[in-house]
Amino acid sequence: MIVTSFRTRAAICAAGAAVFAALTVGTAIAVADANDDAFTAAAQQAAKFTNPAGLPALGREICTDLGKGTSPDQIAADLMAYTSTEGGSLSQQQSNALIAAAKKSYCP
Amino acid sequence: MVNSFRTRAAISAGAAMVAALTLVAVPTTHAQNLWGGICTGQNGKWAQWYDQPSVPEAQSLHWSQLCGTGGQRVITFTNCAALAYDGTRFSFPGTGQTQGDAESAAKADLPGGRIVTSGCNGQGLGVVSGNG
Repeated sequence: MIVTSFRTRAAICAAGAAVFAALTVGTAIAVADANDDAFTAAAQQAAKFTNPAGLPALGREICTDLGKGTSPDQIAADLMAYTSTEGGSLSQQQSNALIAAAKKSYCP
Repeated sequence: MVNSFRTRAAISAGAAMVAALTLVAVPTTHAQNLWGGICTGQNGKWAQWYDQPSVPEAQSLHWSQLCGTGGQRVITFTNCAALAYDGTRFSFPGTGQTQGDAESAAKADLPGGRIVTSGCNGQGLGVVSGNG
């Protein structure tokens, strides 16, 4: 049920994804900084992403969730569940690496 | 909150549909086939366990009994992991190929903290727990 619900929401979001992606890319160019570079490099070391321009936004979202008290393990589960619906699949270890990199780059 | 994350992930990671991922091949060692976990709880309570044969088994261990009410499982790991504590809060769990790497990562996240638990899978460490 949760997965179904998520897929539904993902499908809804997908319609807006192209616009959002364009905005994100533009923003990323404008504000790209050392943290973005460091996170993107670490993420790409953990797994190969076909659209690395979206990674800084993902890293910030991970940091936001950590700040709200979501456990790293729960975020890892979410990342694995999400990517398994998107044509790729992060492992537990890759998710851990992504979260650790986000913490280091974006969480004060 | 989880739903919130997933929704946002769908948009941002998404910047995406980000992710057609290609797994990176890494050398396999015994410790990489074993899984452990760390939980933290109130008042400095923590537990770390090792050597489970899969992620689900590492996550189904009765960690909530070890870390008590309000506890949370903070990481499921291969190889090594460590946790630091400064008397008030825990570090982000450090992980690494070696125990030293894991401890360095934990201490880097919480300067002034001390390592309260640290170890690697494949060493027969079982379950350890403590307080502060």
